[in-house]
Amino acid sequence: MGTTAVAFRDLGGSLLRLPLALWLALDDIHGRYRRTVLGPLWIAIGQAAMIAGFAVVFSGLFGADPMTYLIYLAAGFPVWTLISYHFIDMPATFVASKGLIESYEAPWLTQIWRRSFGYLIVFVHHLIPLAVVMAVLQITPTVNMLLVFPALLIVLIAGAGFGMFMAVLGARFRDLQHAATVAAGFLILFTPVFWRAEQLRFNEWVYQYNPLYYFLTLVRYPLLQQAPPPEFWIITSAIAAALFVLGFVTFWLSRRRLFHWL
Amino acid sequence: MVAITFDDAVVRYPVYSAGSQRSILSAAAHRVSFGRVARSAGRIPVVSALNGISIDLKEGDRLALLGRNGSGKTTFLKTCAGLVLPDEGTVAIDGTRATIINPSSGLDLEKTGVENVEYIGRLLGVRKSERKLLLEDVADFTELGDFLDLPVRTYSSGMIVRLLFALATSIERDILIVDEHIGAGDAHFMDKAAARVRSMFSRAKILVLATHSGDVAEQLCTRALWLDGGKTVMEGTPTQVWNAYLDQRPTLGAVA
Repeated sequence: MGTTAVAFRDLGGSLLRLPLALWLALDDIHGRYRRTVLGPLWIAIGQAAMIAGFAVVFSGLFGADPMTYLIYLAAGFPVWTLISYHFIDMPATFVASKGLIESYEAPWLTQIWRRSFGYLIVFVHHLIPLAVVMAVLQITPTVNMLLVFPALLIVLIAGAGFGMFMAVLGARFRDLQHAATVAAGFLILFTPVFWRAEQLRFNEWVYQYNPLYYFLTLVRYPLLQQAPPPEFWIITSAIAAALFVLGFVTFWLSRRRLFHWL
Repeated sequence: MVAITFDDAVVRYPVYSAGSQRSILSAAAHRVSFGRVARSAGRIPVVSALNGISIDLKEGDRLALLGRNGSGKTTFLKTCAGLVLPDEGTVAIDGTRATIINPSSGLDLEKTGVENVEYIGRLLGVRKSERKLLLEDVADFTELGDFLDLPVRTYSSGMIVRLLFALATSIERDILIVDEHIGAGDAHFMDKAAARVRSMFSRAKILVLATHSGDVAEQLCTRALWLDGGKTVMEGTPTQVWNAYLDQRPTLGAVA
């Protein structure tokens, strides 16, 4: 059996076992909050505290209406957190799963999907502050909000592709996780999370050439009851497809050596 | 048809140790300078762990791997498990596999024994109705009793081996790959393990077992392979190979 057959069989097997990856992701969340009283609610509490703090300071800074800014942040910050997990956590995937990989015959890429689903589960918890703010301000959800599902599907595919790429390289180069964590902290400045794209009067390239801007906005629009413009769907779908191919090819070409790197 | 076929398989093993050898920057510097800068990044020591091994394992074969530390036994096991793919030659593996190479790896130490059975059962695709039987079988075989409801971190190493061995053998798999840690069980457990492996193989499967014990090899296996420096020194029945192995002092593994 050549490397190619092994890699493709792994991808196919991992797709057939997506329900398993989802179960593992849920189990991870339970495991993380084992022996706590509030459990996963801590995720929402942390997010709420952060958003409230930022809203107070930044609405004053930007001279924006505090409530409008609060909603903008409550919708955008969870999406940014979802994106940043891919930088911070994905490089560790194979290294952290070494024990499972060497002991049990399951697709290696299931570990990637497991993390992708885990990020999405945390994301759902992060939306609780938004739901609370919407309820307090009596904002009724519109149909546009349903567009969040196809938007998240695109993020899932892009994230899994990026994850495969980062997980393989992260196993070989242990500096990568640290570099990616630094990069995520840096990239938030260039992505309209705290500020609005239209507020930027100079250096528009900062977001125009920033792929994260398109993914962030794609998910944030539906959360703010708006439909994302068509170009956002096209750009993000194209990037997602490219990332998935890049990630899988990286896995495929490295599969023979990958276990040695763990 | 369950089978493992090695045809002139070569496996080389890069050994990473110093941080600089793993650094993406030093690898990049090495690349752009055509190897002049950061020479250490380009010269990762490579161990030739298997140097052209050929062997055919068919249904019902139980292979004992003998050899000193560093002779290539564990690499052979990892190659049988499909974890490591050969650099040269071919390795064909037909059949589902269970692997006990690293005790406690794969178990979640914070979970109880029962939760680990559920976790690993799901990972291996055991259906819900069968997972209950799996748990009963594991409880019966390990005799861990109330310990199954305690976190695995409270277990002794022997208890962990019992749990791992039970998990690996309770779920129907074609090929069982075991490193020498099986020796961590007590004598009573060894008898039980031997009985269980024999019953497993009455259903025609393959066992690959690395061991330092002639008794274990003779009790559990039908064939033996003596490795040294990643090469086959001798192949035959466990008794023949063990006696020859005792008579001779082999040389150290080759480092390229």
